Amino acid sequence: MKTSVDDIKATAKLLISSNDRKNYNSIVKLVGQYSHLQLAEEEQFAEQEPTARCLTVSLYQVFRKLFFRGQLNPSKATTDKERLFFQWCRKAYGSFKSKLLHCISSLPFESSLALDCLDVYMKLIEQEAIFFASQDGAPFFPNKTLKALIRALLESNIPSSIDATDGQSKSSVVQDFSERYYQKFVDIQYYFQAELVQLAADGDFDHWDNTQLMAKWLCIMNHDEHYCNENADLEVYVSQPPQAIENEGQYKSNLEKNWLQFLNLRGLPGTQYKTTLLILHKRVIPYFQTPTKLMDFLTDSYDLGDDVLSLLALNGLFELMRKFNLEYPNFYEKLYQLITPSLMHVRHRSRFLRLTDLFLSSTHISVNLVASFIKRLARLTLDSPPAAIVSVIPFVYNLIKKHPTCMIMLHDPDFVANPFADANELAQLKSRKAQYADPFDMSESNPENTHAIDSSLWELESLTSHYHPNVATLAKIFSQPFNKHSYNMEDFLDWSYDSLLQAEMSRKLKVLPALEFEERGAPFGDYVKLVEW
Amino acid sequence: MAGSQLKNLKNALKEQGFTGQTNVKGSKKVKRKAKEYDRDERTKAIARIREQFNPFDVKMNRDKRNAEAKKAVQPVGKPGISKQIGEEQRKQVYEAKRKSKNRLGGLLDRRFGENFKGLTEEEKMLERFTREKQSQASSRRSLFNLDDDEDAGDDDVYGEKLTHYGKSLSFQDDFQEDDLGLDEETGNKGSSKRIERQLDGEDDELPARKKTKAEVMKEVIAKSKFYKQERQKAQEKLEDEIQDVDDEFEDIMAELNQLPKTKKNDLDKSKELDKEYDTKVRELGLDRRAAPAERTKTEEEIEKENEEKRQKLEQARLDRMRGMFGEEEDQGVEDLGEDFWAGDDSENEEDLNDTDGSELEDVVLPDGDDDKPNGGKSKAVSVIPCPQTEDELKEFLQSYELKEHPNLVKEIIRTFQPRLAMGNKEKLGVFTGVLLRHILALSVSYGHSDLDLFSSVQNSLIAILRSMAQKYNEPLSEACREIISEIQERFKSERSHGLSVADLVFFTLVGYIFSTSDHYHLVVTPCNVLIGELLEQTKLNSFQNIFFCAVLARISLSYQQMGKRLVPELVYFFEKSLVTLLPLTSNEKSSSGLAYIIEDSEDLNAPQKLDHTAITSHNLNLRQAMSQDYVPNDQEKSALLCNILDSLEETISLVWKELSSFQELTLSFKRILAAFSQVYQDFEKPKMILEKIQKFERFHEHFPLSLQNHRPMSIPSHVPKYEENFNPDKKSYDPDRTRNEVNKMKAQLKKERKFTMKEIRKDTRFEARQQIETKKKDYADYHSKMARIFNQISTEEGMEKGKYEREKKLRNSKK
Repeated sequence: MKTSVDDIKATAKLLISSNDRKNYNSIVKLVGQYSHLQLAEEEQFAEQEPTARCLTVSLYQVFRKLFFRGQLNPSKATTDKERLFFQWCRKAYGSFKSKLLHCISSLPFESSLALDCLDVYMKLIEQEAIFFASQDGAPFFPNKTLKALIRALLESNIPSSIDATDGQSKSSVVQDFSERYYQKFVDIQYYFQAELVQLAADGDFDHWDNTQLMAKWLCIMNHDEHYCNENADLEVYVSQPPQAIENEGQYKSNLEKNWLQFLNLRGLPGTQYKTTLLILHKRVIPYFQTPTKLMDFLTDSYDLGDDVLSLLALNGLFELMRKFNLEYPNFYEKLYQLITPSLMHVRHRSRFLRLTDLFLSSTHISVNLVASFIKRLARLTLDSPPAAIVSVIPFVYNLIKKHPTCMIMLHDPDFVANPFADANELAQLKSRKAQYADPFDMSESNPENTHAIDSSLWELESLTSHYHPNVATLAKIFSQPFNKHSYNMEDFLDWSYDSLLQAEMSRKLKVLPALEFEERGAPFGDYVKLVEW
Repeated sequence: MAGSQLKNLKNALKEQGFTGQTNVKGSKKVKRKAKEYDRDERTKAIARIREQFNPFDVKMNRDKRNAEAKKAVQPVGKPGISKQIGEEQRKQVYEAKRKSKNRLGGLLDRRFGENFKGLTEEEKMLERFTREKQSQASSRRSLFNLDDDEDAGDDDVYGEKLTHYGKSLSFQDDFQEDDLGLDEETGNKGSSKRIERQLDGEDDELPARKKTKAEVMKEVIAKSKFYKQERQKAQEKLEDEIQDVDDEFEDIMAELNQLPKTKKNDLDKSKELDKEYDTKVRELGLDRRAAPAERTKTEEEIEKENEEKRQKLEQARLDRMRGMFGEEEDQGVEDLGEDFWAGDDSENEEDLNDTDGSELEDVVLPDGDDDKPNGGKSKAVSVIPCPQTEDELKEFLQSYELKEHPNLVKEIIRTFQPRLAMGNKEKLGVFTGVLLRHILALSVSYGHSDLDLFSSVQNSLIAILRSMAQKYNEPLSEACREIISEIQERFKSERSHGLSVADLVFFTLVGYIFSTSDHYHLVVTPCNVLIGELLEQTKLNSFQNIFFCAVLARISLSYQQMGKRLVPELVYFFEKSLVTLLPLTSNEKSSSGLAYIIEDSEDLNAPQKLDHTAITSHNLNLRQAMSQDYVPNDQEKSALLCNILDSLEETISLVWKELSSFQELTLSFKRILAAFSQVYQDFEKPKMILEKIQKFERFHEHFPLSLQNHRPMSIPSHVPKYEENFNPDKKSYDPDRTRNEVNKMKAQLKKERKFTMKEIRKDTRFEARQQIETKKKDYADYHSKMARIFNQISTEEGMEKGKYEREKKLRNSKK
């Protein structure tokens, strides 16, 4: 039997206004309305949505009234009859909650009903915290209710709700939960983590799609408003939360367990992997009880061989090395291997260079190592975009400044033509030049053995004839006295074609651009050869 | 000296004999005489005493340093006296100035009402205008001058007279105006002359007879009476006439206003011939004066001139290529920093608007089939708009056949030559941009039919655009920059799907029109960046894209024909495209050491067997890039491969061979080419390129750099330097003579300046003092005058009063 919006409103009004128990049976009738909803089909559902919405809101008001009347807490009953009645009410309330959760978890498409249900459910949690406490005003948090909600959220499965670029969930319910509740309230964060540990322990994760799970987890966790973050501006959701939520250690270990649980999920796509690595060093590691537990994950990611992933893992790894004394065998060798041709063409280049700048700033590393890095980077500039070249040139400059022994790669005094040399010396110089062969081995993976220090940076010298005037001018710093202490890398790291063009276009047309005076024949065929209309 | 100042003075005076007992008996007379005789001596003595007793009148600079050289006469200054002298001099100057005030120099403003504050600006103007008109009217022969004779009026009263060098061109009335005696006076004179003549004539007939003096006198009296009467009559008559005319003036005016045209027509008929003559004269006046024709130059001379011009242009191009903008130096590396990248406009300051006369010259259109559109059409074209948007141009052109478009465009440019009307220049400027966009749009929209016609039309349109670029460089450049932004936006939002043939045509046109070898160029540099972006970021996952980039590579190569600059993106594209096209499996590729080059797609291989026709002619066809779902056949694939190889070869021999990193650049290509020559055993091209690389390598000296071979820098020394033989008198130890002198001069200048300032201040102070003094004097004069007057009045009053009293007394006593 379906009921119209007006009927629902009328019934609800009746229930709210009077305490007459005869009417209470209509509560069950109203709750029963949910079973008429066609949750599977989007079109049919669209028709029912206003009714369902009205139903949800009305029922919330009814139960709120019941909360105030104290009819939902059987332990407060004074007589047996009343207890029976209260228990009946509680049962109806329970079924209402389960209907709400059902709406959240089983709607296979985006709808505002799910959001309404979420809101109403969260309000019910607030009410429960007040009225289900053992005594009036006693601290209480309805963690079981929250657990049910978490389960429903994780269970909801809306296809194509995963962002293709970063692998986060775009499901509005999850996003809403994250933004409006999780990121704002400290008690919800605490109990969310605690209950999630329980859920995982129950083995519920096995039933759900790993990718979806991870997507939702990332969506909820990818922000800065965390429990332990000192800068976060968090509030308490329920009026009287228990003392337990101040247990930071517990929270951290719960969070840690959850993260590891999620990281252990199998078959996750690369995008989620990347997103995780991207946020790891800033939004995850600081909140861990024992961040070293991430060591395996990071080293595995680093060893994986995928350039981008290794690059991203580097940041987290560095964080661990810095703060927790993590030792990584052959770190520099690994780092050296990260300098691949594709490095120059990916966006994370600046991240890599920033970190490498830090790693190579130690004065206790061998010249061979530094020279290998310089030479390899220089070699790669030959086919890289101007933005990459622009970041490499000051990088190399700073390195040479810091490790002056590497200057021999720019200036080998043995090969300077001395204008006052006699014939003998000239002949020697000539033979030296003729006999010279570049010893650098690009394919060598160990930076100590590349012989880069005996090579020279012809690549950077060639860049002085780069087509972009600014790059060409920048490349000239290697042939000028090294007077500058160092270049500020931040000025050079984040250039792109976009910003380069932007800079060009913002120039005003002060001078008339020069025209070509030479006759060139036909544009296609003569000017641009081997191409025709 | 002991005693008080006064005592001393008395003593001194006494010593000199000025005071004390002067009337000593006995020697009285003698002494007096001597004193009178020595008056000069006496004044000198008094001055000496005065000086002695006023120590402040003398100023001495005590020289502490040369205490031993005391004997030398020390200069003594007399500030009081010098001050007085100065004062006197000033006074003289001031007096002189005051005397000449309002008498010498200056301009007298005689403009009406200039110094009269009672008039508003408007009234002033009005008054001036009236005055000017009046003065003009009085100088000119007035329209309605009554004494104007009728004959003179035959040239049009209303029309303008023709003049030549200020003289009238109407030859009939060549008589002088005063011949007729126009004015009253002259009129009278004339008549009196006539009368005289008459009288004389009468006398002539009679035998000459001596007149008595009385007779003569009588005659004279009679004559003068007669003349007087005559004059009076004439005067009366004239006055009457004037009165009449004044009365009827309005009527006459009304009639005159109605009539003029008919009168003019009458005159026209009579003056038909004259008019013809007049026009002739005018034409002759307008004719340009004959000038000697320029000497016809011999062919060699013309050639030489052209050669020189080309050399100059080439030199300018080379300068730009090396990055020298006018006088300004290339930006040093020291300036590199945050602001280096942020669109720094400060460099190259040439003036944009070097507008000179040549601006108005029209565009020299490229000749070719310059025949006008056939008769009927050209009439229809007579009303040509100047399209200001692409749609307008399209609308205008769509009713004509494609092959006529270039001529129509030329017609537009010809019609809107800047010298023909104002605003044409701006219009044509906009039109240049429109034409560019039209060419681009046309290149996308043509079908496969009649390629020859299409390409010839496009080529001639482009030729027109190129010649337009000479004059309308700025609007064209602006349009180009807009298009660059558009292409970039499209590529950003739609990646390779946003690109089209028009973009290729655009890049080609930029290179075709602008000088691509410049170190920095406002249009070409952004184009280069954009081409780089397209080459680097276009995913080579379809033949379409490879094809597009291959053409782009060709264009980029054409850009670097002169500048020979390294384009790293080109290296990237060659590597990637060649490996993609290499018909090997990925395993085979990695075994030949090419694994590090990442392909975007693995199934875009060139055919296993190359097409032979493609090897010989591998032109890329822009049409191929047009359709998105285009699947190339084997021949086209082979052509694409050959074309890319060809580009690679050209790049190697054009740009790379001159770079110090030639070996590093060719490293991967050696592998790729080796792989190609293995796959295609009978394909010569890869082997040829390999040989070429090896040849260049043999000539290429590869040895370590020595970039830091700078001149040794001197280290500044901070040890204090002691001067031997220090002399405090010597003001400067500067060994540089000129600098020394300059410093000297500067010090002198400073001193002089200070002195002059002081003098000027003194002058002004003096002047102020004088002014106050004169003012005070004026006031005093005034007051004394007034007092005198009052005195006088009161004296008179008192006198009168006394009189009155006396009179009263008298009368009383009489009673």
